[in-house]
Amino acid sequence: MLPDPRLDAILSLVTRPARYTGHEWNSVRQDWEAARVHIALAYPDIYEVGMSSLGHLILYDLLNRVPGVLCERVYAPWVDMADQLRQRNLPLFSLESHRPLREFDIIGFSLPYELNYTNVLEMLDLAGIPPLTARRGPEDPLVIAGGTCAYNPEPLADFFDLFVIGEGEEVAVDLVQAYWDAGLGPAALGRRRPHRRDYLQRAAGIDGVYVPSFYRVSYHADGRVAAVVPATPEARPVVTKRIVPTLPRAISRPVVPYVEAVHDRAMVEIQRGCTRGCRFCQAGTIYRPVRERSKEEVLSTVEELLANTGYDEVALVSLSSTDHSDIEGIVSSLVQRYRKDVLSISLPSLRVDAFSVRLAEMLSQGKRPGLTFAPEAGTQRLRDVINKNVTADDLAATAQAAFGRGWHSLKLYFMVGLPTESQEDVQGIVDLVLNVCEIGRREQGGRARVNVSVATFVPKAQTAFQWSAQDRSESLEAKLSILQRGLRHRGVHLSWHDPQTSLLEAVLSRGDRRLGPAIYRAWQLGARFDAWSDQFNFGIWQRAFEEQGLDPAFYAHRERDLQETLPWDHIDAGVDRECLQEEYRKALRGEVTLDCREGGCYSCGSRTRYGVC
Amino acid sequence: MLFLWVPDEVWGMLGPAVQRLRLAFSRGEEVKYLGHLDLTRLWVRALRRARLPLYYSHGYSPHPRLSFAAPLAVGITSQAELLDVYLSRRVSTHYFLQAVVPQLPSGVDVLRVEEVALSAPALQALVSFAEYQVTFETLGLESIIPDDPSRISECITALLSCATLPRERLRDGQLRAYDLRPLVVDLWLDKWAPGRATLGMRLVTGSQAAGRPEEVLAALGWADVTASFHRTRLVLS
Repeated sequence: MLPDPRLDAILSLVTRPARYTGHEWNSVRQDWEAARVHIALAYPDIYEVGMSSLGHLILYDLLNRVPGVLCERVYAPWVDMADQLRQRNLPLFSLESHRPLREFDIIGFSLPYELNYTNVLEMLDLAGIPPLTARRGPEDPLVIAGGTCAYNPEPLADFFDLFVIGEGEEVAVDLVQAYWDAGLGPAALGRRRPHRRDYLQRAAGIDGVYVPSFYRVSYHADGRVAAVVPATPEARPVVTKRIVPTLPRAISRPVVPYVEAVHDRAMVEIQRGCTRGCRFCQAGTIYRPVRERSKEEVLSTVEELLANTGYDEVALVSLSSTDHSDIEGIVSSLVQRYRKDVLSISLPSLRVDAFSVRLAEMLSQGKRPGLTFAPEAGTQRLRDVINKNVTADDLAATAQAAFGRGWHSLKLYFMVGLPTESQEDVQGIVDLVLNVCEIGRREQGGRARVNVSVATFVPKAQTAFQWSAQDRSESLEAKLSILQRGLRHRGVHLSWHDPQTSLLEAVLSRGDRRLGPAIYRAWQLGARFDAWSDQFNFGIWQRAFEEQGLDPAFYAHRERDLQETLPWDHIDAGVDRECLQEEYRKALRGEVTLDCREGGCYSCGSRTRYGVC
Repeated sequence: MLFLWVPDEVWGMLGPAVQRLRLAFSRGEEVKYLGHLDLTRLWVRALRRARLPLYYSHGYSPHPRLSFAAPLAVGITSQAELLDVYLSRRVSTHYFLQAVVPQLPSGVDVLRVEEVALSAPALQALVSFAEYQVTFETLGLESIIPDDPSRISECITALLSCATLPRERLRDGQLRAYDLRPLVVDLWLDKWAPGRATLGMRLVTGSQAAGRPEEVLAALGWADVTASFHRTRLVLS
């Protein structure tokens, strides 16, 4: 039953109301009164996106197994629901118990994407919790966050009590323990919540926990960060990424959504981390070191997942599936075991080579639904700059294998706006695609298709390109028009991302604390769901930056000096700054660095920090 | 960056459907906001978890053959949904129930299972009427709805005596005019207590046209009333 009839009245007025009603298979409903700490896992995007996030499902599973912990979920309500909640003065509530978020002790946000930031503010406001930590009182829950965006937490420093840097599996439990150690129980039992400062002092001692209010940031006159220094004795000068040295057992009882999720299938993480060292790739830094799951564990997890969920599709998740040392064994065993069942198996992130095509063929058993590869750049020079160690011959051989084995469509991912990129490099994309197209035409005739997806490069914190300037829009427009003209070709379909979205992403991903008020202002002016093109309004953001006296170009288009103090320098993502600097210098010289599994150790720092790599 | 496909050699191994089971099930508050496709996925997953030998259609994108009698609109509960499940291997109804019941989420309960002939007509084609209970509070709404059973009955009689009930509804983004009257087979005051009334309705429900209970409420002039809708019965021909 829905406890509040007022909710019933609005649910019939909004799109896909089942996003908000919970009760899904494998969702966990615990006795509220019996729990000693109440945690709401908040995802700042719609239900369908949040339910596709493996990390989110892992934490939910894990926290609900900790005795005394009750963990529920909440997602960003779509704009129609948000408006209804406001109009009727109903607070944002959790899916499981439909309790107002304010009644929870801890709200834990996932931060997967910069363009979700305004949704964090929106969700807190809908919950009746002041978005700014400074305005929260003792009755308000702790508001914490983790996820990839926490690797530069500075733009969000005003909104969160603490950030988890790194993998959440162990830290989450430590944070709960610290809550109890502070001697305080849930407000629901009439006991007071821990005094925020007491708790944060304890939490700051946990590896991987960053309490932004314990640091002071000073700036140079031109806006560059001068220093980020601890302002309390508990604050460490540098907060190092937390990892789990060996992967915990994969979850096999995930919540199965009723509403179709973006990735509506079972997921098993076969490997975490990637050592390919692509210089643009943030995941390549922050998910190090590489940890594989054994074939046996993958197979038994798949078996349990199917029994516990009823999914007819399973994805083998990793940053680079083909790099798993026993991927062929895993794939062939799965095919063998499930050949009499209706089950599809998907393998994302394939390397550009013929081996990948062979794997795909093993899985597909005659069907040819779609193959995706990411050469990323158009010329060998530029691929060397970004350290994407793929050659035109590799791509041709892959295309030859795919079209030759019966595929008639391929999808290719590229980026424009990469450091040192010239118009010739962009013309290189055209040449590569037309060559692939020609191979397709030779093998498959007129039905050969090449879908080309082009993204604008966004330099990210904690990568070798964290010092690089993002390309300006005039230059990007010119490059896109080269692609549009060059790829106006039979059998080629071109799509690209909105460069304005990428500009905002670039500002937020390498911003400092001065962006906090601008994010707050943009939200006040109505920004929410910035990742959704039908909701994104760049004008709002321009106004917000202007009012705060900030220049987006300072953050997005400025090349940083290698000696400059970066806003996130006190956050250590597990790879030495010197290593990233060296990679940046090599990039500018066009020199490649081999995968350390092939080319030998280049001392990224993982081994000294974690003893593993 | 994902691509998917389905093992193909499977098709040769799947036999034809050999059994057709008809389930009556309820849909409670917990799942009343599911769309029809959500409910279909719910059933497919429950049946797969139960390891029942579902019959899959052949084709590029195979799906298990399930057929529902009459999709229920979002927000309506029911005690009378009907679903035909096709199996590729025979099982007893007892086994079927034992396997599937533990796999059903709260809000979905199987009320009956019976075997029907594979050659029997499609379930959708058999449905002719659906009955609903529509419950609403009249407290504080006296200006719209009379708080008096005999006057409510008068409103019902007046509606039933109309030769036509022209209404409009949104379909494919366009407002279309239609006549609700022939879809209303019967309408009655089911229960009444001061401040609270329940109407009973029997509406035409078929592949050609289906009456909607909220439209009947609107035709009575009570569109603004917050009501709960519950399907009590599907009548097969």
